[in-house]
Amino acid sequence: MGKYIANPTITVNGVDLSDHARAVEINQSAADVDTTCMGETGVTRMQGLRDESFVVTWAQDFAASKVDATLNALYTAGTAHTVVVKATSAAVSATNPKWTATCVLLDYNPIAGSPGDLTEAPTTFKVSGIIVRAEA
Amino acid sequence: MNTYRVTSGAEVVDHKEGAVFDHDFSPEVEADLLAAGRIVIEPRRYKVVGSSSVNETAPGGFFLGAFTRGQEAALLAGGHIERARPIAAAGKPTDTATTSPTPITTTTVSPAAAGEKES
Repeated sequence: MGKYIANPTITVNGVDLSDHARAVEINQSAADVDTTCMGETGVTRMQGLRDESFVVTWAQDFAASKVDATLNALYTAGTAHTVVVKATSAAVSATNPKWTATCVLLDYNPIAGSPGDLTEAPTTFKVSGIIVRAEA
Repeated sequence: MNTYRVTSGAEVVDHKEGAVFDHDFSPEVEADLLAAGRIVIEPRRYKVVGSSSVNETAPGGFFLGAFTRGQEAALLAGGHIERARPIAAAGKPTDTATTSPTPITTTTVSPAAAGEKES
């Protein structure tokens, strides 16, 4: 049975920003490498390089040690950092996996929204390497 | 300035394998040496001074972290942490240490001081 997203934890460069996250996506994608040769009756393929990312929409907070203070420094310096997402705040287990990757912050929108909206900050953490899934 | 330990047979800035030294590598050189497995970052003691948890340590708590220069700079600039005196230098600590480390860097760290976390 499916479960709704209840209480994931999102850590950026060691900082727990879960209480400011409005939405989170873990995008896992790999290149489609065509391996078709003569004599084949259909396209054959294999999985190529993986290109993965975390996409998080934050409720923006410009206070010290909150969202902008964490992300602006990483974006400005282009610092590689760790992003960790857990399905829930409970201990990591087979039913509560954790995804970890070293990322660079390539898309950071400090403000997004219309008058009257909550100030949101859509952010894309592009993975340098691959996302590692752990169950323990 | 960061503290490193040489982990390969090749010398690093005149330091032999196993030596612990302080140096001011650029972030790029540091990253290259870490990736090549020639050095590891020695963990340092930090205090969480912001209002968000860092390295699973609540505000006001202390932890041992092995951050790259860039990661540390981002956390310092963001008002999250400050460097704390080592326990030996600080004397009898009055702070509350935390437990349950969660690695947040890909570097290897040496055993932590009792009761404190490593990253």
